[in-house]
Formats: sequence, structure tokens, C-alpha cells
Amino acid sequence: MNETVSLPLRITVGIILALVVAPLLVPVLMSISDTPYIVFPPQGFTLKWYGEVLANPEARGSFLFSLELAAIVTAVSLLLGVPCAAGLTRYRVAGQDAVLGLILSPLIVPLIVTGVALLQVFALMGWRATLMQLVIGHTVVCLPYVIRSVSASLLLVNRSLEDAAAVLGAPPHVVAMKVIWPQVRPGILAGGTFCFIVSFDDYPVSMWLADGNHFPVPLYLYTVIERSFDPSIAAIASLMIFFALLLVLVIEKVFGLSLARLAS
Amino acid sequence: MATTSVSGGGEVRLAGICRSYGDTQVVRDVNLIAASGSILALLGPSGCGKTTTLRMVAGLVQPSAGDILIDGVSVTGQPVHKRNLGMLFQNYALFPHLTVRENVAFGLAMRGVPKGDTVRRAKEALALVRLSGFEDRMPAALSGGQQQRVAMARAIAYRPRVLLLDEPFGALDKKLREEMQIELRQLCNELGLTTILVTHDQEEALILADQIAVMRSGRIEQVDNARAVYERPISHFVADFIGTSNFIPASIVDMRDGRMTLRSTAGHVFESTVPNDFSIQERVAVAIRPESMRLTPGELPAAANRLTGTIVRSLFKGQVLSVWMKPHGQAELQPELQVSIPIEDAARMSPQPGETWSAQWSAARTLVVREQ
Repeated sequence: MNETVSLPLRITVGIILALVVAPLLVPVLMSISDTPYIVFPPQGFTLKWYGEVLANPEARGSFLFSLELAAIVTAVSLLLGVPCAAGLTRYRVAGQDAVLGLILSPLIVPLIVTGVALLQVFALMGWRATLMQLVIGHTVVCLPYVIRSVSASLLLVNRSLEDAAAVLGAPPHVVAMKVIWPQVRPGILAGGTFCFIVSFDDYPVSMWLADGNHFPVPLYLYTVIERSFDPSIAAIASLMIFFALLLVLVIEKVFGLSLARLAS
Repeated sequence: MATTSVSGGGEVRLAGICRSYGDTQVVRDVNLIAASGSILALLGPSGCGKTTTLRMVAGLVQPSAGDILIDGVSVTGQPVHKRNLGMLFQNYALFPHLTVRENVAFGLAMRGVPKGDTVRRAKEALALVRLSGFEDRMPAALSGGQQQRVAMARAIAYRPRVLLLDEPFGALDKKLREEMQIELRQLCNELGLTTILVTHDQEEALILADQIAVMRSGRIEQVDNARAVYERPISHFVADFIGTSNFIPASIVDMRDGRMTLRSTAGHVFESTVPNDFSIQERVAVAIRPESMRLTPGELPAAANRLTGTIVRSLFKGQVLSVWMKPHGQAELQPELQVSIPIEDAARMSPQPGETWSAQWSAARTLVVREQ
């Protein structure tokens, strides 16, 4: 199973992983410093900053709101994205490329521009429904991730398996559940996970659309940084990192979101 | 021996089926019968419509016109999953996320067979294809030949009425392919399955099929038993597609007592006693198989079914020595006449390039075919 990996490749991969992971370790280390201000390397050890953050109703409220928002955005993005990806990969539709380009454009346009443009539109409409507006804004940004990964897995689907299942006596809904679903599941889960994390981490779009009652964690973090500079900031950042890690680990464990499966 | 009983195949009848995509007619007015328990091969080059025809029988493609009947009952409007057919695909199409047993049991499970029976019958089907003990493997852990057998077991486990094969051996190497072909033929005969096979490999069709339907541009060119298609091809296309032939355009000058006399534009005379249905006016060609001709050194006096020419080159091909000859005064012969000498004769008779030799053959080996 495991092929031998050459030393230069190991070293290269090691360096890349170090570059990706090392910056994430910095806030984690800073968050346990027993000092009234942020220092690196940390001095002493304490978990009181975590306690402080978790006891703070504002922080808890923001965290819960971000979870709620990300969950809604993921649900909406999957609901829109999966059929859209299926349509774009399985059928020849007039203007297909234009549709795809339009959907993927938020990946190219700076997020801050997308955010301000949405704010303009909503303001012109005179529409005040912050949660809905945040959901729309995040969905615009998250949808490309769903479309990309679901399309990729749909393109890998072996169509003759569907033919085989039908000839063997499987009616269309059984073909969908027993043959198509196992093949596209990794793509849908990957898209959903990306979507959740992108929404959970989003600052530039939320910045324009949020209000005091709908205040996602990244915005909260920013205001805290402006107000003070104690290690509780690092604690919030660390919690966000832990949460994202936990999410990926759980999905990996439960559903097996491995690249090997995606490829097979 | 496994106990799967003879399932008794259904008779498949295609009545004038057509299929077009936009303006392109892929299948045109195909009429065919696959008799119960027989093996019918649809043979033709790629793009001739053979696969589309097979997929119409399966129900994966709807005919634009015509009717498909199994045991006299029209199945044209029936969805794929209700037709109770078995099918082998070119790439096997095994479900990669299911074990061998689950793959083989799939069709049984779809028919609501109780769990215990499913396991037993999957085991029986695997025994039939000599793959007992592989039940718990995943398809990816099997070789190409083994995957092919699993696909076969999966297709016969629920005793379908008809077995459809779409270029089933294309991905196997030559030796394994021949083994599988013989096994498949035995299995189909044992189970009495009506089988329709799609292939572009004439050898495969000759080995496997009772009846061969040669297809060309969406039409059936000729339907006959394997031997007749080889020995009495009706057209240039069939004679060229099945085996190798030398073609000489000619016109019919006389027909009597089962003997046909023809003349090429260069004035050579040919005689044929092979039965055919041509009439005087038709454009025909004389077709001679390379192995039907005999070579003798030097020039012979002009006679029917005899050509003299200069040897161009010769090529050792294992069982035969192939010799190409440029006939004298035969400008219409393209490119050259190909003659096969059995290798046991090649020792005492080896024509060298530049020498003059004569080729002759019997009237019984002179085929007359429709020109294009």
C-alpha cells in the first residue's frame, strides 16, 4: 500500500506543513501566557483567558451566532449547489459556461467589493433583514466551493455503473442512492465543510452586512483587538482554530473524507 | 458442478428499429432475430451503430422508430430496470464500493430475493465462473480477467432472459481473451441463454456466435451463420471486414448451370460456382481469399481464374508466408494481389521479389460480391 517516499519529497512536504501549521501555533501559545498582555514566547501557563472568553456573554453570543449562520449558509449552499453542479456537469445547457463563470466569480472579485456591493443593493431595496442578508452574502461567497467540489466528484462518476445498476433491475431512485450517492458523497462533504469554514471565518462580507444583534465571531475578534490587547484575543483565535480542526477531524472520522476515496 | 438450472433464454426480435441523434441516423431499419438460446453477434467497425442497437435492446437508449420484442412481447416502452436482462460492459462496471458478493447479489436483491437465498445464489453464480472464495474481496483487488468473471456472475445470478455483451473482452490481453471467449460460449450454452454480443473483432464473432450480423453505417449488411458469412460474403464490405480478400471489379457475362462467368476491364476471365443472387446488370467484384490461391513459378497460358505477375515482396507471418504480386496488365487491381502460402509449403517454394509467378484458384473459391 505505502509506496516509499523519497527523502527530498519528505523534506519538501515537511517544510510546507511547517509553514502552514507554525503560524497557527503562535496564537495558541500566546493564549496560555500568564501575563496581562500578549507576549511571545508565552510566560507561565494559565487557561484563565479561555475561562474569561467562555464566560463572556458577548463572545459566547458571537460564537453561537457564527455557528448558526455557517450552518444555514451550508444548508442553503448545498441545496442550491448540488443540483446546480449536477445540471452543469450532466447536461448540455445553453450558456453553461457563462453560468459557471458567474457562480465562480466571487472567487476572483475581492470579497470586500462583493460585500460593499451587496450592501448597496440591500440599501437601495430598503430591505432590513440582517440574518437573511448575511446568509445571502455568505452563500454567494461559499457557493463556488460547493460547486467546484461537487462538480469534480460528479465528473468522476462512472456512468456505466448507473447503466449496470439499471439493467440489474434498480429503479432510478435506487440507482441514485446506491450508486451515485456513494460516489459523490466525498465531494458533497468536502464542499459542505469548506462552505462551513469559509462562512465561519468570513470577515470582509460580514463587515458590511452585520449589525449589533447579528455579530459573527471574526467581527467580534476585531473589536476586541481594538479595545484591548490581552491574551483573551489569542484565546478566541485559538478556539476558532480548534473548532475548524475539530470539524475536519470529525468529518474525516465519520465519513472518511480522504483524498484516496475522492480519487477512486 | 453448480446447480443453477437452465434458465431458458427468450427470443429477441428487432422489428425495423431506427435511432437518430439530431440529423444523424445512427441505426437505420434494423431487423434481426436472436433465436432462443442462441448467440448473435453484431459485428462492425466503430460507429456502425452496433452498440446503439444493443443499448436499445437493454432499454438504455430509446429507438426513434420500430419495435423490440422479447418472446413476442413488445418491451419498447418498458424501462430498463423492468426488462430482466443481463449485461456485460466493456469496462465491467463493477460497483467499486461493494464486495464481490454484494456485486453479484445486487440483481437478486433488486428482485426482492430473501437474504439467505441471495447469499446462496451469489455463491452458485461465482462457482459457475470459477471464482469461489473471492466473495469478500473488493473489485479493485482483482485482476482484469477476474473482474470480467465477477461481472459475468453478476449478470447471470438472477437468471435473466437475455444476456447482452458490449465488447466484453476488449480490455483483456489476447491469451486471456481467447480463454474467456471459450468459457463464455460454454456458459451461455449450458444456461441456454439467448446472447447478443457486440464486437468489432471478427475473430471473436466467429468463435462465439451462432449467427453474425455484419453492420455498416447503421444498417445490417448481412446476417448468416458464422461459416456462411466467411465463405459467402455478399458484399465487398463484408468480405473485406471478415478475413482478407483480393478484389477485382468485374462484370457478369454469363450465368448457367450454377456457374457464373465474369470479365474484368483488363479482359481477365473468372468463373465462380459459389451460389449467389446477382443478376447480369449488377456492379460486382470478384473476391479471392489469399489462402484460396496457389502459386506456381513462371508464366502459365491464359485461362479462367488465373493471373500471372511479378512478385513485389514476401513477409513471414508465423503460420503463413504472405506474398504480394503485381499482376501483369491489371491496372485496376489495388494495390496488389496477396497470396498466403502455408508455412510447410514455403520451404520448397519461396517466391523472390522480381520473379514471375502465376496464381490460380478454383471456381468454388471464387467469391462474387456486391461492389460497395
